[in-house]
Amino acid sequence: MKILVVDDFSTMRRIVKNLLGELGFNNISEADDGKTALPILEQGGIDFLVTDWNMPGMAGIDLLKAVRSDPKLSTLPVLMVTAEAKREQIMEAAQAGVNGYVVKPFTAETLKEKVDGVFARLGNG
Amino acid sequence: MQARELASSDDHTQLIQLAQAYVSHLEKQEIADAQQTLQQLNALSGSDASTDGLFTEVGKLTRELHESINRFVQDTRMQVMTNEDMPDARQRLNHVIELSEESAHKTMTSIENSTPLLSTLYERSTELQQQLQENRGNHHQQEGMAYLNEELDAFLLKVASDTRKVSKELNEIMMIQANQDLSGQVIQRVISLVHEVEINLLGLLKAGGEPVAGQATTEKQQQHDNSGYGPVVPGVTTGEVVQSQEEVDDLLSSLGF
Repeated sequence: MKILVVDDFSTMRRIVKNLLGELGFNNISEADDGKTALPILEQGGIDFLVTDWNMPGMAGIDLLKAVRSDPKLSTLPVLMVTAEAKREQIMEAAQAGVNGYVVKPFTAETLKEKVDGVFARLGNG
Repeated sequence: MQARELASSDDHTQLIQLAQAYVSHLEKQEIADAQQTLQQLNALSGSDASTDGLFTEVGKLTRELHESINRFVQDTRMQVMTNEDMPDARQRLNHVIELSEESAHKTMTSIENSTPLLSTLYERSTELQQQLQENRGNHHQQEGMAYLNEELDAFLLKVASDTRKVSKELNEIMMIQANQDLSGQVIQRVISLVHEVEINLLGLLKAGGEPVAGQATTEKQQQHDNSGYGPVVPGVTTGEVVQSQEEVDDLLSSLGF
């Protein structure tokens, strides 16, 4: 299981990486915005994408849309971890096909719950 | 001004001398002399390639400055910046102070909770180690061991439970570092506002220069793209926002998630 964590703040990438490590995921790549993430995704081999929304270059919502419109990546599970908290944004992400949405600041339990939830739904679907 | 700069330095020196003489005549109320000097001054200032006289030039500059100040004052973006964005920026920066205060306090609390646990474990482990060593030299080793076994058992249970507690505190310290991301995002927005104000002030300084408002992106302009609004800032963020992860989950489940 290889995971790509995308956030423009290195502190947040470290936190997410540490939490995923505690959940047993140790194969983690990082990118600091959508623009740098997309080539990594296109290369293949990433099984799960965790992305922030507000980033320079290419925002997380645009990255999500790019992933969903790429035939090779369209089924990739995507978890959004972001400080963006407007209802319209959460709905936009849902419509764009996000698999989970965690609003910052979050707890370790929340992230675990959402990661588990994403995989549980994929297992059922 | 360009034409004046082309004048030779001799002309320049003479201009200054004439201007000083003009002022001096005026002060002494020597009106006839003053007028004569003014004519000389005007003739000299118009004696280079320029067709405009000195006064026309000064008049033009004054008008340009007046117009650019007016543009600056009437620019709606400037009004929004002054009336809304600046107070917002102050509130944003106050929120950053609160975030850093929160993370400093939480970190200190976790350290204060962990330190006594670790010192007790340290003290008790050295104590038990010493007792074990002493017991090895004891003739009644068996009796001593029975007692020490009980002590060791209790101690190991304590080690297991207290190290879990310390791990939890370390986790708290890690999680609160997320405030660096949140405050960073808030500060980035203030930086872009300061940049926009800087550009506008530069436009004003270059009298007659076109206003360049709008080059910097601020939150109000960013709303048209997808880059988001940044973290919720109490008193600044408008519109319907979720207050907790539960609200996010409720909204998503209402959408069939």
